Amino acid sequence: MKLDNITVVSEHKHLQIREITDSGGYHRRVLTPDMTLADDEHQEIKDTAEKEWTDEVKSAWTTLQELNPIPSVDR
Amino acid sequence: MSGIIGGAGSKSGIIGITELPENKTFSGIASISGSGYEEGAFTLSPNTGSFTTVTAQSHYTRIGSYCHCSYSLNNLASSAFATLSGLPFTTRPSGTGYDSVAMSSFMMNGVDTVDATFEVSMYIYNMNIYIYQAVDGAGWAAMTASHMGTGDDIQMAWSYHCQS
Repeated sequence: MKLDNITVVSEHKHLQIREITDSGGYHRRVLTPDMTLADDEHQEIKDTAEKEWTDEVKSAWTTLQELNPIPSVDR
Repeated sequence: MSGIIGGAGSKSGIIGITELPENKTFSGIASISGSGYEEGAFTLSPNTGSFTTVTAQSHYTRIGSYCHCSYSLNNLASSAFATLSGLPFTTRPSGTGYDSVAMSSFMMNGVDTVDATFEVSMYIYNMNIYIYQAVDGAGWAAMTASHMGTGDDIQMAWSYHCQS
């Protein structure tokens, strides 16, 4: 797929990615600061993540999730 | 345009992406004005296990901060998953502040639910999708991999609020 657009959203610096499929339609995905990017990821996405996902941003996102686990009642 | 939107014009009928491009402002339609319309596909990933995605049924439609999704999980592996990731847009708010039952519906084939389950709902939390069962006279119960067997199917549709 061809990279079409990267949008940085929220204080947690999520990367909203829009790509163009072979058939010409849009495909969407979101990358969060806890993720490890694939080796074959678009270079522009890698560069944006490198810029936006500072240690402070990563730590804040990780801490947020650790402090708020899913309220699960498994049966 | 004529008919549903605006005054007389050359176009009428179903409104599609060619008629409502992103960030286009339409006078007299406050709910769409300045916020965009978009359609496309996305890919869900299980935390464990696997399934087959029916591409034609992986679809989102976004109007402003409202996103409606549909997805088909076919041929689940045994012990398929407990959570799904891959929402097309970041939730609003983006973290645990988005703690919401999505307006959702499910059609399941072969999936085991807890006895006395009377409702199945989607719960979106920390950008992950959970499936919860409401059990008569008991606490809610998160559906886990143990409820799914080889060859089971889940078709689902839901809506949630996303970042603009």
